[in-house]
Amino acid sequence: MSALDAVPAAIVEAALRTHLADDAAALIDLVASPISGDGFSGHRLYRVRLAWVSERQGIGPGSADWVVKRWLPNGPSEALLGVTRPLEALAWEEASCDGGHCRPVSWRRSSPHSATPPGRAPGS
Amino acid sequence: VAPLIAAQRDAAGASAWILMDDVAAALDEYSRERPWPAPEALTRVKQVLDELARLHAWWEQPERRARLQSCRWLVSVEQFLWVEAPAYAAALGKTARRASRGRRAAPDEFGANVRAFLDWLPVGERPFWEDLLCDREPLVAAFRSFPQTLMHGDADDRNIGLRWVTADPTSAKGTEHTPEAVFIDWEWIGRGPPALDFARVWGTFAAVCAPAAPLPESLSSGELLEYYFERYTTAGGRLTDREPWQRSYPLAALAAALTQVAFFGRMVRENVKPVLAVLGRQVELLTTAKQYLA
Repeated sequence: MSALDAVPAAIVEAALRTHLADDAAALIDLVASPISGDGFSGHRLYRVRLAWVSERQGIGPGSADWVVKRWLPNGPSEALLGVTRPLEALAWEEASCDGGHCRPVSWRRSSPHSATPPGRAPGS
Repeated sequence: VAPLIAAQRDAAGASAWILMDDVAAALDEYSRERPWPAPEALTRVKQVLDELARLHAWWEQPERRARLQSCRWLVSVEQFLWVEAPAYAAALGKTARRASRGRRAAPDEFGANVRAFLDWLPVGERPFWEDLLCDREPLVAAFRSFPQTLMHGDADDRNIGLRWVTADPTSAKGTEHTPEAVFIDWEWIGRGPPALDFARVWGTFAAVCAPAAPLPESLSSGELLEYYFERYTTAGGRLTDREPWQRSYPLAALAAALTQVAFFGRMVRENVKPVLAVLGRQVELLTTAKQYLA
């Protein structure tokens, strides 16, 4: 199975629409590649580059780099802690259920104002 | 900051897709893959602790505590504290007081590492560690009196990043770049004493320090302990007295160390001297937790 097959476009597009708050936003490009090593939690990770169009005012076309994690049961968390449910997803649902007014974590979008950190040159 | 964009569980709810911003560049700024000289590493770990202290204090506010309690799915402090105990019991030929779900038999290598760590300890310390490796009830009891908050649960350096954001140019701060900690991998999100998260950050701080340079004094002093506590109380944390904080920290550090015993044993077997030097100092601190156990 290719990485693109492993990351369904429908999942990414649904997330995109929620993210942009635009039910009509559409993916026009999606490139996925597996992240070697899959991080440290034992779940599959993919880096995806997506591009979209949106007719909503103030959004328009755009692109982004995301990471997609596929959480499956019977992983290390279950063996170590007895965690049998995808807690990140549950936390997200909890944050969303009241419009995000009382969030378990301050989930927040990446800042569009990312700057070069002190001490290292850009791209170093 | 948690960089989540969306999450979607499958129909049965047992599996999920988690979508997040690609924060690889931020993760690189606080990483064992690119360690920093001691002064810069210290600055960075403090930036991480700033954010962690605010998160912990925020979730200890009265209006949020009830919300936290209602999230029954959060990992409990008992779950955190019993990590690996059944595996250690199996490795040491003891009976586990608590069964584990899906735990495979401890491999020989794991057992050899655990034994190596115990053998490395001063003789008088071994029974304490051996008992606690298999039975965490004394730790669970000791933590019952501390306030609980929202915990990341796995605040390892590999799950932490740093980035610099530009304040709103129209604000009083102008275009000043301010650090922002990014925490990924919330798979162990839970409810417990803030000291458990703090101990995980402190316990993995050495990994982000350049090995060729002298290690910072703060690895074995109370500097970071005080720093976090000052930030946490300033942010409104419930634990306002220094004494209980100073009591909870060695307990949390002990809990964190218990999850790393096989790794420590491997360092002993491979005679990794820099790690053993740090470990020796930390074990001294950890044994102070004895007095706080029931």
